[in-house]
Amino acid sequence: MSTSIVTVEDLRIRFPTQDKRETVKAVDGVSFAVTEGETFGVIGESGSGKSTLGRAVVCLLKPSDGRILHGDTDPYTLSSAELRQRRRAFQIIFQDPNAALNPRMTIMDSIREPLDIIGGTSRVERDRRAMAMLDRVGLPAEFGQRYPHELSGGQKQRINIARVLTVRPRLIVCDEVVAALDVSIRADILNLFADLQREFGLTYLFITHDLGVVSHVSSRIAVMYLGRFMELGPAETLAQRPLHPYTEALMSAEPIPLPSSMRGSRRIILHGEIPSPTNPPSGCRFRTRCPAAKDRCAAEEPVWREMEAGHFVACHFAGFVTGRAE
Amino acid sequence: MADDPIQPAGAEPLLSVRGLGVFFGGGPEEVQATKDIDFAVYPGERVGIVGESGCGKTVTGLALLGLLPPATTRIVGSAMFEGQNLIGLSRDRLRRVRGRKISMIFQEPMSALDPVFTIGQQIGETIRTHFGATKAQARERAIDTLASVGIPSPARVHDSYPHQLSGGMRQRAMIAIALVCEPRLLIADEPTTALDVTIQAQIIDLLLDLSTRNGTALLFITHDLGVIAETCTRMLTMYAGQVVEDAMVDNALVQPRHPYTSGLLRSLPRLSERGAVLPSIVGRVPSLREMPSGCRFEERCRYRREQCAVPQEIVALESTHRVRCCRWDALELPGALTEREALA
Repeated sequence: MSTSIVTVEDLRIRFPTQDKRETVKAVDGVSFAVTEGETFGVIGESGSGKSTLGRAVVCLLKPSDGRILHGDTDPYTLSSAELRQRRRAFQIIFQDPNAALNPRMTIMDSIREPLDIIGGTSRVERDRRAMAMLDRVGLPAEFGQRYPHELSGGQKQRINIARVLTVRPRLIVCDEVVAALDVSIRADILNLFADLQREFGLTYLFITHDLGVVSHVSSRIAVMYLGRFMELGPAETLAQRPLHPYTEALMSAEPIPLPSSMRGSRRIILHGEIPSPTNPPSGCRFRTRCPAAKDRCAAEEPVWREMEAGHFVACHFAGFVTGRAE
Repeated sequence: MADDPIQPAGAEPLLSVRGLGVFFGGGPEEVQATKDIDFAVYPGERVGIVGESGCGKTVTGLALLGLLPPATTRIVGSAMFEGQNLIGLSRDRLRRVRGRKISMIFQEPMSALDPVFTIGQQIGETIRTHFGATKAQARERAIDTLASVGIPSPARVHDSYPHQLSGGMRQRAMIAIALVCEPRLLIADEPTTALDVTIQAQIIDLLLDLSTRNGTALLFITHDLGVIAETCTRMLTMYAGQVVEDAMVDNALVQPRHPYTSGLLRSLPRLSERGAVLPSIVGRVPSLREMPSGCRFEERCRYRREQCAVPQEIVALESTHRVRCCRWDALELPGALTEREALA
């Protein structure tokens, strides 16, 4: 029996709008569990709530409702000292490699900073560990004395990875970590993530809008839309035989670098844009853009159900629309 | 001539770029950003320019429209468009071309739209500059154009400020401004990069539709080979300020002739087994100050040999395929197909 490193139960996160008159339902009832050692991919468009979900998992945002368990502990039942200690094992890396690095600190100081904060080790030991991580992410030792502006985007992202690894996390939330990088550099960084996972037994929650990336790295993928999961299943099944019309549309929208004669013609263009999360549509929240929406979709919210082992979907007509069911 | 840009039979190019080079800085510190850029765009043709950041894609687009800062930029070579050379054209004459005959759209619509004017005022400005229309005529034409780029309530958007629109709507508004004068050439610099994939699909469809409907030629700058495959018929691969390959898209995808084009295609996740190591291109684009004297890609190229240490000329393998690699003949480079697809 595999163990869950993170369990999310009916998570809801709400923010007031700037004028305080409305409420943004960024995450609006999401449940799942991440198994130790896996890469759990979350895919969605801007405004789907995927980054909010990632932040909540590492306790940067407090649930408005529902709960998140780290192992079998609810971190919000802990004292603040215990929480600080425990959440070291749950780290996050962001999209913009610049924003996470202090431009006035040397690379070495940035990598060592988490250890300085934790304390309890000598400066020599902390330097040694920081240096080892710099080496582990594939950068030469002399980079330690440089400043962020002297590094390329890919190198800076390596520094952010090294920095997180110094505290020996068990789970890393990777929030669009390769979105800002060129394709060839992107491949390098994805390879590095895979190596580190094997070496340190890491678990990843991989948040991205890039379908190519998410299907390559993930063992399971969740598709998020307007604060809820639409579908969740094994990466391969989800990519090749989606059950939800939104998943299918997303997959078909991805431009494929193949000659025109070899590209599938089943391109589904979704009309309109993602509605406002302050006032999501009634019933199924995807219905306003769904090519197959019926009356029932406006009246009744689809139930989150397991259609096949490990393959969940929230759609009244799951499988029918995408041609999976007869 | 071996270095003749690719041309379909019997047509005159709309745009013919020869020996284009851009220098920045001036004086002893001057660096060369692009070198010996040669290519042509034919009427109604859709040409992609692909490459990593820093390869000179955007600089090339900006140079054509005279949008680089004149005080710190020196441009050599020529760019013939409808009988006049755009390079070195006076400001007045350039103004008559820009927005009227050639337009450009950018990745970030907010940087191209003026936040203190409504969308309508910004489209109207273009119409009145080039056609001397009245306010009422300009309004009518602006609303028509907004409708033609798929904006649902064009009159409302006409009177909106940029910040009141979503990213996708802003991109459509910018396209409307660029297209309102029915230009013959649209230069699109990463127009879908900042957008979600479903909105990207809408914008790609729109650009394809407008290009076929109006016969507008497209010069599509992007790092995304998938976007190129879906929008363009021909692609130029740029590396370190040079065109290294110029080919029909379908050929370049299946059988690239330059190791850099091949490397870009192979590093895409879709070609590798899930979880397998992705073939990356080691190293990075050389900086402008440390440009190698020989082949500019040599340092990162897994196929390099002694003959690569000298500057590489671009050669034509066929009438529609040029490549800047002396080893093109000896190499069988993998393209965008998986093994299974290649056998099928």
